[in-house]
Amino acid sequence: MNNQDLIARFREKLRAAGKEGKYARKFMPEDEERVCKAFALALENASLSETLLFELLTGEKT
Amino acid sequence: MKLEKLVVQNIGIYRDKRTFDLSGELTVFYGPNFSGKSTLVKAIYFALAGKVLSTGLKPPALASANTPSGTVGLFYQHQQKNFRIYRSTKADLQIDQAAGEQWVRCAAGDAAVLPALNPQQWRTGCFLHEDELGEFLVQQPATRRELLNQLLGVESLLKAQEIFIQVRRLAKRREKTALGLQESLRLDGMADRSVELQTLKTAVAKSAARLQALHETPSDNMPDERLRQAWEQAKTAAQTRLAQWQQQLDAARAGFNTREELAGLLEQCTQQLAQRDHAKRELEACTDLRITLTSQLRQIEDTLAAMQGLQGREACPTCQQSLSSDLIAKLVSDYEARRETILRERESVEAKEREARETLQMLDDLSRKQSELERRLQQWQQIEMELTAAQTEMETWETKLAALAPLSPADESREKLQQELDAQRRRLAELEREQMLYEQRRQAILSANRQAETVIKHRLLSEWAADAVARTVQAVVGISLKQAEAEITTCLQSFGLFRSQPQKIDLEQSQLLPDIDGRALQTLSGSEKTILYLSMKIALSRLMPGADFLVLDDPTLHLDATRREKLRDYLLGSTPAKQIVIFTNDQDFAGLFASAKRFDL
Repeated sequence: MNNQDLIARFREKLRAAGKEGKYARKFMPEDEERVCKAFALALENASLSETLLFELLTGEKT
Repeated sequence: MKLEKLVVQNIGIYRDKRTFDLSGELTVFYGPNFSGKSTLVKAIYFALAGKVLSTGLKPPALASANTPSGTVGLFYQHQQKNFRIYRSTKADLQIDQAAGEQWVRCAAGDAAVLPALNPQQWRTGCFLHEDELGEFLVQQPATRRELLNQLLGVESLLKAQEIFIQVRRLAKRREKTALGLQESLRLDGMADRSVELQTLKTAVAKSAARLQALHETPSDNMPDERLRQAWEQAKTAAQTRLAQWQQQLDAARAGFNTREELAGLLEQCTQQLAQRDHAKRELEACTDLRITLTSQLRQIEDTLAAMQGLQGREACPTCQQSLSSDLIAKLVSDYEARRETILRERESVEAKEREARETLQMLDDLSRKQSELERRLQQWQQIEMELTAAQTEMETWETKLAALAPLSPADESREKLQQELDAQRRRLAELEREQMLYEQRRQAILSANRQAETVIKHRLLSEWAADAVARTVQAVVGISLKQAEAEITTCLQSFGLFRSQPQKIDLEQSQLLPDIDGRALQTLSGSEKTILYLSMKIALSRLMPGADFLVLDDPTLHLDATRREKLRDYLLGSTPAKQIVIFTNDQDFAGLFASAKRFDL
């Protein structure tokens, strides 16, 4: 399973989780897009720091 | 990927170049101990992975003794194309693709050239080497977990999951900090004073206006006050003038302590200037005398020239009278002496004339200085008069002001109003300061609330992402393992390993050491272990795209005749999906594969 397959599967899981419980109606499509981009980057770069990933995830500088 | 041909040179016992045809579904190499079977297995692995199959050895260890380097060539089919890979124990690598009868060089690392499997995946998915089972059993659980992840190709996914978990922790820490700040920021008795502040501002404005009106409104009850104000103003003006005149006096008296000193200097100037007429007359006399002497000198020189012209003549050229040479010589001598006298006299007069001119020049300068001193003296006198007048005026106003009556009742009322206004203004300043502090704190609380909302959202977002990653991992690993576990179960069933009903194999839970009928793998017999491990290996190799062959080195260890036959059946059943290459020293086992291509080493 290559990275593209993993990202597609991750997006699927993200959407499914986004419809459930505490996550329901809390996020916008742009949030999903940002999270998927962060996931793709984390897959490609194992040494990514959590601070940088947090910034990518939230779109805000820490 | 299917193997086609193996070429070795200077590898182990194979010093000369040897070629082995591996094409076809099944190839069996038979040979006793030390015949070079394991060397060929290692050569195939080295060609593909660039590493040595045995743990702890480096590629140069594969080369034959006393040779600088060994070379392995492996010809194979991949995605319906033919390739060959040559690798030396000195780390040289060349991959070529067949193009008709030519070979074209390819770039290493391209999945279209060679399946993108890591050394561990090649090792586990395609090779069963001697002692492998023993090495596997002594591995730590964490190592086996890592091995499983490597085999499943989910290392990057698991690393990503770790980072997302760390991000979730980071978000929680930030949330805790922000909520702590939000909790700590309170108004602590501070109140919004804006209404009170506005009321007080209005009151101050009213009081100030009332006081101003009282000052401006004419009132018969306050004549003394108006008079006082007028006199105060006049006194202030007199003071200002006094200061101005004092400044001018300081400027005028520069260089002199008293006016008498200036007057004394002026007197001295006047006395010296009295000599100016005398000096002027003396200069004129000298000038006249010099002119006269110059004229006389010119006449003497003319006469002398005439006399000198007569010398040596016997008669005068004009009157023809006879001339005495002695007389002429005496006259010339007299005139010359007289000329010298006049010259000296004229020089003396010129010196006196220069002196007189310098004296006159000095007196002219003194005259100009006298004029300046006279002007300053007059100015000084005038300023002193003005000063005296201003001083007198000021004293007059002071006297008058001192004589005025004390404050009237109306004045006292105004004073009271002024005091009230001052108190109101002080209270206003205090209220403004309190209101400013209140506003600052309120803004800080609002900011902390906004920050808390943001970090709560960030925490939720990071949890959402981490949950999704966990679900992805679970799904990917679960799907892969489910296939492998089913495969292993079938394999074990075919070997008759289950004593009762087939049980589910859980590779993840058991960390690659599954139980059989409730018995731990370590407690199984040697043959059971071999069968379980072999079936697990074949099953896991199916998870790796490209691992389409299996190279087995002495797979029959611990197996009895019945199990050998079952193994043969299982391996034959794996073809043609799997290409099988067997290396064995078991002649009976080798003989079980009648249809296989066979090499006797």
